[in-house]
Amino acid sequence: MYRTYHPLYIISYILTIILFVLGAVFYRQPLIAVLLLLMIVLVPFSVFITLICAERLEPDAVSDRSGEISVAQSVTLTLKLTNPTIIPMLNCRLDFSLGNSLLGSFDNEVVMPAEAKRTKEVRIPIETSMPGMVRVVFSSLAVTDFLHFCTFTYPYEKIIELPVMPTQRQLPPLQFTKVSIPSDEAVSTGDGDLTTDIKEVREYRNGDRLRDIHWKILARKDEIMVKEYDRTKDLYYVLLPEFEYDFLKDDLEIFYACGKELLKRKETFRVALAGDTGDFLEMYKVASIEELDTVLYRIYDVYSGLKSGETSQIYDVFSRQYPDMPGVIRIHRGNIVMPEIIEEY
Amino acid sequence: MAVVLGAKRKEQAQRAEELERFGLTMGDFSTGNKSNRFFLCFIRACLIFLATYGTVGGVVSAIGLQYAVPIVIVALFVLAFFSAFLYYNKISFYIGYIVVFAGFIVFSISSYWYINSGYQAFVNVLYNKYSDFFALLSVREATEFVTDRYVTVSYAMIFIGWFFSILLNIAISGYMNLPATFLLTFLPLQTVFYIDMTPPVPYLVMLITVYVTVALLRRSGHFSLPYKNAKGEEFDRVRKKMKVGKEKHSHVYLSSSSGMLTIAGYSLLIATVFLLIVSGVFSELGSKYVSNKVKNTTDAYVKTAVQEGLTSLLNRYRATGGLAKGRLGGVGNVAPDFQTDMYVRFVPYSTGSVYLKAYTGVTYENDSFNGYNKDVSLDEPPMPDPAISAGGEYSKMWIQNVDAGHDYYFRPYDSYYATFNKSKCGNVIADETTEYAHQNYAESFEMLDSETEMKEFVTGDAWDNYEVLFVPYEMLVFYQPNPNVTDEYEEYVYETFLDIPEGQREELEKFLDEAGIEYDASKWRNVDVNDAEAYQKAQQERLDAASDLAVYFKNNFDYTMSPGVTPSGEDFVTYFLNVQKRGFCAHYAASSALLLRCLGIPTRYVEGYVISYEDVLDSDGVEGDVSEWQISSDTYENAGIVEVDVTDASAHAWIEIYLDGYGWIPYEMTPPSGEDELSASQLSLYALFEGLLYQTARNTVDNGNDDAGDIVNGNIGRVSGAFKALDFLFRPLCWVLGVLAAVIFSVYLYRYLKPVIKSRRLLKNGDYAGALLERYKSVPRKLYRRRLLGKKNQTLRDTEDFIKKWVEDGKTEKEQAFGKKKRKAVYVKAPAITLAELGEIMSLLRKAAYSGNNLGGDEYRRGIKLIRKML
Repeated sequence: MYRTYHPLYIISYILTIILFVLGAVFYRQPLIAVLLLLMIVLVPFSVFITLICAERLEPDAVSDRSGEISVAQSVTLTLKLTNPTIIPMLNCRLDFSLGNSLLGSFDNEVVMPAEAKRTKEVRIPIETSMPGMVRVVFSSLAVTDFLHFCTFTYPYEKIIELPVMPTQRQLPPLQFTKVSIPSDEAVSTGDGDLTTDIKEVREYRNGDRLRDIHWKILARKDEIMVKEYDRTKDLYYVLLPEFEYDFLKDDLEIFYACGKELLKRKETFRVALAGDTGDFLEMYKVASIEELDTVLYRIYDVYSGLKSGETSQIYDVFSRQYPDMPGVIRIHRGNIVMPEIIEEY
Repeated sequence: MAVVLGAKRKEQAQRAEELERFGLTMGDFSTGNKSNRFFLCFIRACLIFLATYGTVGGVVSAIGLQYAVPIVIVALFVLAFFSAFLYYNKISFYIGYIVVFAGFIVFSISSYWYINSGYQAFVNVLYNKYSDFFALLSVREATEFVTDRYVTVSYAMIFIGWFFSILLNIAISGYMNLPATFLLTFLPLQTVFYIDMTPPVPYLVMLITVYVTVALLRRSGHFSLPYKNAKGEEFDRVRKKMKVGKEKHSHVYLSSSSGMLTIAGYSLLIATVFLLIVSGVFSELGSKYVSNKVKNTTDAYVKTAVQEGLTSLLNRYRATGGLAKGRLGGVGNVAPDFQTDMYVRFVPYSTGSVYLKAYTGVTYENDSFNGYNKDVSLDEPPMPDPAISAGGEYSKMWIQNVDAGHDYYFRPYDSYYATFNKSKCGNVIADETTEYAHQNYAESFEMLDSETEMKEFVTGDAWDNYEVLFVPYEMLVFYQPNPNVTDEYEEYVYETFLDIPEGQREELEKFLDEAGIEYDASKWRNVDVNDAEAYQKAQQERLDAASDLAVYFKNNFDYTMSPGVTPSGEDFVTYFLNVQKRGFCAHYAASSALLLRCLGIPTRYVEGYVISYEDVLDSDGVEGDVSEWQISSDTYENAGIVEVDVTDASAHAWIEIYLDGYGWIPYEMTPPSGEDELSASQLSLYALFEGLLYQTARNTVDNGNDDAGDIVNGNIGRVSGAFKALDFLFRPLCWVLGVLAAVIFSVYLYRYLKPVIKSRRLLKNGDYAGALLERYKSVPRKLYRRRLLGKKNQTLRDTEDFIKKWVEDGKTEKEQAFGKKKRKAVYVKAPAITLAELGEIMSLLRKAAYSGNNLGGDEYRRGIKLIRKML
């Protein structure tokens, strides 16, 4: 907690008191004297009561939707401020920023009274027009005393994230080409579990992973057998989304539609994203819709720094690493660019 | 409507821009509760009603007028209700105001005679109260066309209340403005507060409730009605551009009916409790009118207005002290400005007053005593001065005339020589006197200073400065004839100083008859001066007549600096004696002069300055040899040379009475005024507040006298006045601060004792574990308060970890306040507990917390000991 004093209010109050003192001294007016005493009494009443009550305030924020939402779908955020004390109308200010992770945010302050023995709820309807991670970041709760002498600010750190999914988009019929990437190369997440094709079942040897044990055989025959996968013939699609700020919405929609289309074809695919520093690749394997969503959230994070006119540098990094670019589905400026087109490009 | 549509379009455009820019936008905030504009207007109406009725009802009740309470309450509430609902919506605002004004006009016209009569009844009663308060003999009397005051006053209250409710509606509903509300209600109350009358406490409670409510609501900012549109927006949104290019949206909650109601309720509670406390504290002592400079100034105007109506204030002028030069009418009020008129340096020789005479009034006509100027009238035969030789005692006086008027010279009685450093001034003492003095008191002339020495006395832009030789003695009458008085002079005196204007003698004789003052002029005239007994008797009779008159004035007349003017066409003296019966020194001196002349005693009207003994005590001492200033057989005890700052407040008028064969002697006719200095009980704040809360008999003594020229009064308390003025606040302030300190102390004591009491209760039930945990609770709280822990309620493990690290390091850094710029780290020394002991107490606490009530008494005591070591 920290205190901020308001000199203007304090000085004006002191001047008023001086005026009343002069009135009481030179005019000898009992009512002025009574009001003067009342003014003096109100100062500690206001400051200390507010301080004591402010510590007991309980802010909270919840969203009416916990999972993902689609673009243009309305969400209601509810701020709750519980005042367990009997002091009414505590002047409270909740500070929070609201924004889409891909586009930026703006600050907000909600000035509201905390009513005695009540929970004050404020409903904030939020409309979206862009996919991205809608993020509400609360920073502080400030309580100002009745006479505006002092503001007591308490940290209130809470983040609410609401992923906004891209709008469904119909893709034209496309012929995708798979890409084969040797497992001993830079595909760090490969390591044999990228395919479900079993090469052979053999006896257990020291060093084998538990997850490779064939549990059904163990159960049936009470023999410890191990599944061995074919590690060389893995073929994958690789989605290479090149996000550009001015085509962000289209890029995201096409990326998401492509991913869904591949999953619909029961294909496991990979997504190549730029790393945090932009000069290395992050490859994500996607085999289910949940994994696709996870990659999408990662995109919301990674590409939050884009500005108008900027394009992610993923294509350059990828082409340096895989010059022949076999089977890559490139998403560029709201279009799907197939390999043969890449060569023309 | 166009404005509303424009605002909506602007809002829509801004939201579209936000959607484009941020991919999201926020709609209208709401609390989910139904916006109750009606109830909000109702609360405002209640506030307006309390302010209106508190003011109007308070004033009327304070002066004791009866009125139809239920009808007035209902009417004022309806009017307040109507006024507040003007803001309900646009239609009610525009149409409502027309209806209000139309209704106001119709009511005013249709009930004009009732309202007018009610107002006049109020004014008549109020003026009577003022008259009683100021002891005025005449007051303005207005005509009441309808005599049933119960009805007319009610009408007038509704009329005034209507007017107030419209104004207060703007102040409260429109702006929640405390200064405007305060001024609108406070100023009308001054009509009664001014004369120490107090509205009954319920009215004050109403007003203070409104003040507190308006202040709290205004500062909270939550007092506006929700917007009247389909959605009923409850928040006001402002988009601000921040310095760094960011944007900030501010959403301010407009108001909630429950919040406003609670605030109003709390304000009512505060006002009631506060007034009850104040009344309890200040109810013991009685109330007395407390004089002060502001009231002294305003009292004069108030009295004039009460006596002669408000218009009388426009054609009056004030006098600021100094000489009136015999001009007596037209001054309704004397308000000295306390500017220096002269500096006088001399050796004090009396605890009485030193009179410096300047102006002598000879003939009275047209409200003026026409007198001599510095060129002595050629018709007047020579009259040696001093009237009597003083037997070898001489003194000198330096006088610097700064601003006392330069047509006259100021000199003490029995002065016989004056010298000036500016030749054009001439010599003020008759040559005969100086010649006489030269012959008889040659040694005194050795005291005279040279022109060079006199120059050191000249400072600033003094016009005159001069030196006077005089005979210092107390104002006593010597019953022996003055050999210097000639028959020729006495003849002149009896011809000149018994003059009374034509047609006034009858009035004066009538007054003297009523006063029972007698003097047989023929009997005591021409007494043989050689018959000592007869001569003394004659002189005594003359002085007794003057004394009788002075006593009569003292018993039947009042002294005031603000008597009001003599009405046009009335004689100054006659009006004073028969009607006014109150006035300042000029009134008494002029009237006495004529009355004594009427009795056959030669008397003259005199003006000048009086240096009171208090002035001498307040003056600065001057270094010098007293023997160079005074030749005396009996030097005044402890006397030194003083320089007195004589202000215009010391200007004075008195009379001189002629004693046959002896000469003129000064005589004081002005009665003393009330006590100027505040008594101990008056200084007490009890008395001040007593006046507010309890209506008691008041001391209506007029303390408005600052005329130090009046011998009895003096000029008291000017130096210490400022301190005394502040003193009255001391005791209530002590009370209030004491109560506050007691409350704070009680809170801390409660916080300290609460765990002790609770743990003792648990111990009584054998719950050692609960008692130990109860005592432990203060540990993380104290650490939080010392800003060592970030949270108030830490887990056992967190607290243990923190203290453990603290003990290991020997010190810990105090947490910086969040959001503040990082400052120099502050370290706090670790407590005396060892790590082993810490482990022991923590295991005990864990046992107490998680293992049920299986803690023994010894373990509890050990735990308490260790908890104490933790802090």
